[in-house]
Amino acid sequence: MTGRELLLGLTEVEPEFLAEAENGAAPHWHIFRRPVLAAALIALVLIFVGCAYVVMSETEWFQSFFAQRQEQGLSEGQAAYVEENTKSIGQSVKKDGYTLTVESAIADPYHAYIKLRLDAPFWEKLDADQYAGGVYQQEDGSFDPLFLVLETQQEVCWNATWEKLEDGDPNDNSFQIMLTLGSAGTAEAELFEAGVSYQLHVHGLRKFYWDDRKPDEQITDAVFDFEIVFDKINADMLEMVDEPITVSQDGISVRLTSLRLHTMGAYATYKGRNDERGFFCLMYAAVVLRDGTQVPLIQGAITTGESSWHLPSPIDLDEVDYVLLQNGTKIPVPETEKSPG
Amino acid sequence: MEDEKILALYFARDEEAIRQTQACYGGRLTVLAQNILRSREDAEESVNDTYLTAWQTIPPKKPNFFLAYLSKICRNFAFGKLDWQQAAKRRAEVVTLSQEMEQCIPDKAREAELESREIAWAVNDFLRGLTPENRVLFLRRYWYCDTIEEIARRYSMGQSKVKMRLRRIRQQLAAHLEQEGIFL
Repeated sequence: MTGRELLLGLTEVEPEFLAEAENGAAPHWHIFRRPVLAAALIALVLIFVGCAYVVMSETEWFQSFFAQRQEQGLSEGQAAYVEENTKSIGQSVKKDGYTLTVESAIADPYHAYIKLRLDAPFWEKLDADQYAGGVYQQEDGSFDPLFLVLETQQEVCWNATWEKLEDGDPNDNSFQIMLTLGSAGTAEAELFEAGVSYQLHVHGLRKFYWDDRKPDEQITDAVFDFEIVFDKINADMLEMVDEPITVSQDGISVRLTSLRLHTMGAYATYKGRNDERGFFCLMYAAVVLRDGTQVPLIQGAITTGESSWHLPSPIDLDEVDYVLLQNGTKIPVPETEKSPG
Repeated sequence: MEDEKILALYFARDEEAIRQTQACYGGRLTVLAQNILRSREDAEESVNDTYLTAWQTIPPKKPNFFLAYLSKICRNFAFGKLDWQQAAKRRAEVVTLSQEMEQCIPDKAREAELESREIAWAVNDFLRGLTPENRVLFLRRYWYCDTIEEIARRYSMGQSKVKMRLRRIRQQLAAHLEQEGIFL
């Protein structure tokens, strides 16, 4: 048997599995099954990246980062939002020769972006071609075991992703990582509050190799502890549905009862015969701003009758014109929600 | 239009069935065929062949998962049209995929000649044991032939995370095939 035969042989997998994969996301895609795994190993991975120190300010850096993510320049309101809400932090912890720095962050009540930088000893070169990046996935299939410990000492599980950032110099000894945090479930619970102290623990550094036969390599098992306090959290919300509306896509129809936009994400509730697949009607939707800027909704957690998204870049809710669905339907800002001017 | 209504059109031998199939699923079938063939013309041919086969086989068949049924037919046609030598020269994604699948095959199975249904049996068994998240990732990559970038965008994950997760799933598949010993 060859790899090609195995690839072709997959054609006969059970249709239920294909239907599951066709529906865009697994039913519990971003949901932790276990609330807390105290002994979870958090591995910070050596991705290479890192345009060392950039000359731009943290605000400018985030503006550029978000513009790249939405693949077009930020609108005036978006740029202003980033300027008002970016928090410079600059906390460093050095363990076993490695320095991890939390450089800056920006958050709304449901999502946070935290920019980290890792500096290795000067003789060490961090090369992206050799290292993969990501939050460590446990063998039992649970994933993203990243813990933030709140001031109350209550441990909370989060949905977390590491993002590889562009590297200006692959031969240097540092790189940057964007840690994105969101809710582990669909509940629209507020996760971040201004003035609250959040502790970030990064448990160890680990190299992952692309080559399947090469085992992972633990560089250090030291714990890097940080305390993050957001001075400002923008909790604005815009309800786009004043009366329930029917939306359809590819033979699936649902009654959309609520679509709430936040500055960094969205949350919807809907009803219908196919409501466990209802999220499909809202896939590939986008928020369109008054200047024509389109900001796509990126699928997050899904449960029956509710769905949440995050945005690739923050928006100023006063600039929202309408939400555009993939079938061309426009959901305009209701008159009652329109801001003057 | 809902699947049940489209199938009813097939059963009524109403050609509107094909138009509705195209309207509802034509886009996704074209993407699937294009992922494999990287040629719009060949992809469209595969999709048209798919409509014709659906017309010829429904009835008597009445698939429970209509899109999955169409996708299987389309995948078969697309792989049937694929010129592997040309694909290798173009460094096409399917070549990378077959290389990645190669890593899952236990040494003692390399010489074994297996029928598709034996492979499918082993893979279905493996897929049943995966978490839904990992199963979807595996199928998007190796069934739908999505690129890493497409998967990362689809599920809002970093590309490196997708690669790492797939690597672990491949390791699990290799262990499963080894353990099952279906090649002996």
